[in-house]
Amino acid sequence: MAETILLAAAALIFLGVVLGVLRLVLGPTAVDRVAAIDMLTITSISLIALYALVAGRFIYLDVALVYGVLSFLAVLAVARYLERGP
Amino acid sequence: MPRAAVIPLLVALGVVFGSVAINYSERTVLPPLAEAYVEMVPRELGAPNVITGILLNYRAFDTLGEVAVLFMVAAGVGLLLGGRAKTDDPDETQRTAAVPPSEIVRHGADILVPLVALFAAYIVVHGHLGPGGGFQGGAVAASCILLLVLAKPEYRVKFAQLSVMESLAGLLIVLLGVAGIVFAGGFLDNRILPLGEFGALFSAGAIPLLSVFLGAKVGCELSVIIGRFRA
Amino acid sequence: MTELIGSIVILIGAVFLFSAGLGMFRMPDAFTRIQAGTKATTLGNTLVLIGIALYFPSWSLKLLIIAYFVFMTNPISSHALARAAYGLQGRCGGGVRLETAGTPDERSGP
Repeated sequence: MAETILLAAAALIFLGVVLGVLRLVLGPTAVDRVAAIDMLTITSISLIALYALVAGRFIYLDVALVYGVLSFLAVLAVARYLERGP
Repeated sequence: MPRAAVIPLLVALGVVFGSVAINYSERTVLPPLAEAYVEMVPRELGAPNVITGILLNYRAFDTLGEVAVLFMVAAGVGLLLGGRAKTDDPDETQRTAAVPPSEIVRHGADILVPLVALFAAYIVVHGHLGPGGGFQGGAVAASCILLLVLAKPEYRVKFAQLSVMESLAGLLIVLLGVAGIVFAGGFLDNRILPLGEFGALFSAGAIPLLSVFLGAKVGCELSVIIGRFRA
Repeated sequence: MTELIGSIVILIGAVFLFSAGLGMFRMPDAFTRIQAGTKATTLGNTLVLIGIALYFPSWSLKLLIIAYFVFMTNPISSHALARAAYGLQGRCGGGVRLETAGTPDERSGP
C-alpha cells in the first residue's frame, strides 16, 4: 500500500518536472528560464531525498543539501547579473 | 534553430534516457578488480568510502597532479584578468554600486554564510565516511566566497592572503607525502597515523588530514578565480 | 502505520510540487511564474521531507537541516530574481498598472 502511494507521488513529481522543462524551452525571456531552473533544482532536492528513502541509505541526503546550496547560488548569481542591465 | 524544433529533440532525448533508466538493473556480482578494491580498502585503510580510499591513498599521486592542474588554471585566470582587477579606480566602484543588492539579500547572506562554511567543513572532514572529500568541500567553500561577493558589493577578495594559504596547504600536502615515505609504505601512505575504529570520525589514518589540506588548497584556488571575475 | 501516514504526507507534497510545475506552465507573466515556482516548491519540499522523517525517525536532524535551508534560501533567491525582472521589464503583466515612487535607479530600498 505504501509503495503504490510512493509510486504515485513519484509520477506526479515527474509530471511537474516535465511541465517545468516545457517552460524552460518555451519561456520568452531569460527570467522565465531562470525561474524554471530554480523550480527544477528545488524539485530535484525532493527527488534525491525520495531516492534516499527508497534505497535506504542515509548518506544520499548530503547530496540533496549540496543541491540546495548550488541552486540558491545559481539563481542569485544570474539575478545579480541581470540587474546590471540587459 | 527554430524553437519548435527543440521539442522533438527533447522527446527523443527523453526516450533514450528513459529506456536506459527502465532497463537498468543493479549488478549483483562485481567485476574482479572492483571486488578486490572493495575488499582491500576497509581492511587495509580503515575507510568505509572506497572511492575516497582509492583517490587519497592508492592513487594519491594522481590527486596531486589534479591539484597541480587547478593551480595552473588559477594562475592562468590570474594572468588574463589580473591586470584589470588591480586598479581600484572610482569608475569601478561606481559601476558596482549602481544597483546595490536589496537588504533582504544582504541580511540573508549574513545568516547563510556561516551555514555554508560549516557545511563545507563538514563535507571536507567526512570524506572517508560518505560522499565528500577535499575537492568537493573546496568547491562548497568557494561557493561561500561567491555568496559574499554577490551579496556585499563592498567585500574585497583578499588575494594575497588566499595565495599564501594555498601555497602553505600545498607545502603541507607534500610534507605529508614525504612523512608517508619516511614512516610508512610509500608517498602519501595513510598509515602514519593510527587507523582507529572503523566508521568513526577520527579514523582511516591520515586521510582526513589530507582531505583538510586538499580542501583548503582547492577552496583558495577557486575563490581566487571567482574573485578575479567580479566587475 | 507511521509508514502509511508518511507516504500520504509525501503524496500531498508531490501534489504541491506538481502544481508548481503546472503553474509555471500556465501562468501568463514572468512575475506570476516566479511566484508559482517558489511558493509551491518550498511547501512541497518541506512536506516531502517531513514524510520521509516519519519513515525513518533517526534521519530527522539532517532532514530538518535540509528543510531549514530550503526555507531560508528559496525566498531570498526568488526575491532577487523578481527584483531583476522588475528592473528589466519595469511593469507588471496582465494589464495591471503599477504606481511606485520611481524607477529602480531612483529608489534606494529593496
